[in-house]
Amino acid sequence: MSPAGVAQPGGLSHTALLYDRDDELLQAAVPFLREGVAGGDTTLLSVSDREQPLILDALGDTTGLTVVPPWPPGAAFKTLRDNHQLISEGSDHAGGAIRILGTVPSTQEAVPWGGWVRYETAINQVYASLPVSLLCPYDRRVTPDRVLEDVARTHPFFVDAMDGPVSNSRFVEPISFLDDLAERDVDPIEAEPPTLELVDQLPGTSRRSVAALAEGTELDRPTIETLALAVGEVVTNAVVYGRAPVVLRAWALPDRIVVSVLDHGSGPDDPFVGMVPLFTAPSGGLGLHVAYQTCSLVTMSRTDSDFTVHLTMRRPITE
Amino acid sequence: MEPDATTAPDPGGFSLDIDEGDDAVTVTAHGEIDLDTSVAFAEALAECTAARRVDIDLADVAYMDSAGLRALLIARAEAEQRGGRLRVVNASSIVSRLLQIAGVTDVFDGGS
Repeated sequence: MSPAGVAQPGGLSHTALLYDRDDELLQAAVPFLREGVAGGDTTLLSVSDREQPLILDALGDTTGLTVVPPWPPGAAFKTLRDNHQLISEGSDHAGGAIRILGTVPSTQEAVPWGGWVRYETAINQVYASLPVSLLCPYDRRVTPDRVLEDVARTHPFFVDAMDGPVSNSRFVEPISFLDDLAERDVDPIEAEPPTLELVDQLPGTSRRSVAALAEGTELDRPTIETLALAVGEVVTNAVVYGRAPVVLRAWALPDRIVVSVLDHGSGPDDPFVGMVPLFTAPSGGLGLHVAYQTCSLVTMSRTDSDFTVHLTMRRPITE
Repeated sequence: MEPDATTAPDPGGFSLDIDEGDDAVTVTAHGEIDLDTSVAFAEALAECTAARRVDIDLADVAYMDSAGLRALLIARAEAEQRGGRLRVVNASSIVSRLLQIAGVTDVFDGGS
């Protein structure tokens, strides 16, 4: 069997490794890592605390393998950005390919999965031209069915013990899937009358108003300050790139603040803008990047006449 | 650019002090750097990038958004292109947090 999920020269390979037994995990993971190291690829292992010793024991010799801690549940977009940087720098400097065996925290509650499912679909878009092979293990014994449904929509390839790597017919193109997520993930509280509504207010007024509203929730001071930062960024984008009137609505609940910022423009051409920022470009998505990095969930939706960014900020995830 | 020039505070409370020392130009910003003030901030930084060394003091910045960060990154790239160095020598907590959020803390770790 050829190693699972190996990139074509110069391109991306993004493969889900679904397993029901640990030997199935090892059967795919070990050759993936060994051949990466042997071929001179930058080879990275970031799996769960349970999976890591199994894999390292099975490998034996770990020379050339970079082992990093499990990705934190609340850090999907930081992981997306940091890996993008690692891959870009690795391919620039060494001219080589990158392999990542990386387990996403998929058994958590819905909100962090909202970030990770976007990470999984975004990889297909923002890493498309990078020489990286990503193999994403999912333990079917503990992964919720709804997560497995999303895994099927975000991975162009599957590998399992019986069949090896196979093309996944249920894969959904990332732009289309991101739209599906927007419909699914807008907080139902937005159907209720908002606690706060501002029309055509400056970013400064907007962020201060939302911060004041958040004082009445369970969010702590640093979380409120980063929410205010995100609100300022999104309102600035609406003012600069969108079309008036700009309408901010916010809903305060004990455990979260939900904010929507609507303008009457069409939104960014690239729905993935900001997930990995272009730092010095005028429209490089740096403002949205701040929102992705700080909020519990960022969703964008559009109709024929308007565009809305939805932010949810919850208490930080305890790990 | 005049030595020790100080811009007039704008309605948002933003102001800049620019001190041209023997070894470095020091830009000290006060107030909030956001949509209203980032252009003035960027213009001031652009004027300094010909200097061999530019130190940016942001200890008194009460708020900075990505427009201010972008101005810093552009000025830093410009300074490096000219063979100089631009660094953030002091940062308020909100500026430090923004740099951390954006993943560019290392970019502005000056050393000396």
